Amino acid sequence: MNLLDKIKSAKFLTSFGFELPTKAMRMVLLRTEEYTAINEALSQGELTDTSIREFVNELLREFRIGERFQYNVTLALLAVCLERRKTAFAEEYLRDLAVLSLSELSLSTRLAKECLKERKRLAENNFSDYVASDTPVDSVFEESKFISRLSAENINENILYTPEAA
Amino acid sequence: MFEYQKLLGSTERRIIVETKKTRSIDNSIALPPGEHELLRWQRNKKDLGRFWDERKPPCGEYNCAGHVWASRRTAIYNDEEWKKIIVDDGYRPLVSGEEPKIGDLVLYGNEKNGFIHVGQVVELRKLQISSISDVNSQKGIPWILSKWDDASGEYLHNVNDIELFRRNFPDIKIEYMTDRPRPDCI
Repeated sequence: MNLLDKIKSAKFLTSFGFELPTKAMRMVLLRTEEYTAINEALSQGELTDTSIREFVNELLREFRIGERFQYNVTLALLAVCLERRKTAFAEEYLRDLAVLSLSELSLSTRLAKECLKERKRLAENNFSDYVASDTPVDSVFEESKFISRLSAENINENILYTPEAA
Repeated sequence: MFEYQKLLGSTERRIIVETKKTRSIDNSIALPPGEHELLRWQRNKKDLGRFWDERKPPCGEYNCAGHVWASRRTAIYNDEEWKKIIVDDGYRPLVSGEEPKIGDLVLYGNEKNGFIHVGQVVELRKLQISSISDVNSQKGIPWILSKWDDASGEYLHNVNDIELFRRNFPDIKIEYMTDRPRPDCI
């Protein structure tokens, strides 16, 4: 089973004990092995923005009005995975998901909003992490130039950074 | 992305919820649980719910905070909103030596992630074993009525029966909150 198939499997979707308030839910998703695996695959080019876009579009075919979207957790996990990715697609994904006001996508929308908040905070603090990108760097991050390279482990720790010399 | 979903506009249902100081509380009425949520809760109950007493089977509409603060009418997902209610509605932590009473709230959380869950004390259950001299057992262990999330049922559980949380947050703390006046102010 490939990575994307794995995060839409019933095994993955039912593996979470329960849904938490947004901040805590983001933390739980950050700690999953799937989060780590997806980020590794993205940085190594095994997964691309294009493949994620196609995957999400495929999932959305299952969207039904009036029913909880069965892949809400998958979309939420992808939001967390894309939070630090400085590509136009990552920005588009988070913004487009966060702006929705659908009960069907309640969980993933809340997570996308939280991820955007974190992304903004990082940008304001001149943080960055390395991403292997197959799409252009988004303008949101262009103003900030950094050299810090952060690993998944230290995301929520006291992050040290070194602003790049102008 | 999400072009079709954008065209739908809003399907979210909200109600007016305000604190005692009339600050608005963000909320959203949850849809009924789907297949995956029901599967998840069957598993949770089987694995962890040996001592839970189910008051109500899985349903949507509200979560733990909606149960406690919105009369089961909606879900309040953001713990920042919970903090607004706690402050504006005059809740306070118990003072040293003060025991929880029925009707008090119990909040679970940690410093890093804020509040994770909230429930209401509905029973102070004394242990049946008379030989136990533990002070807490004499006063009664708080039993909590809570809804684990917006897709679960409502359960009566021991205040410490939170393996569900400890798996993700081993440093989780339990704090009682009450709207009763401080003992030294009576």
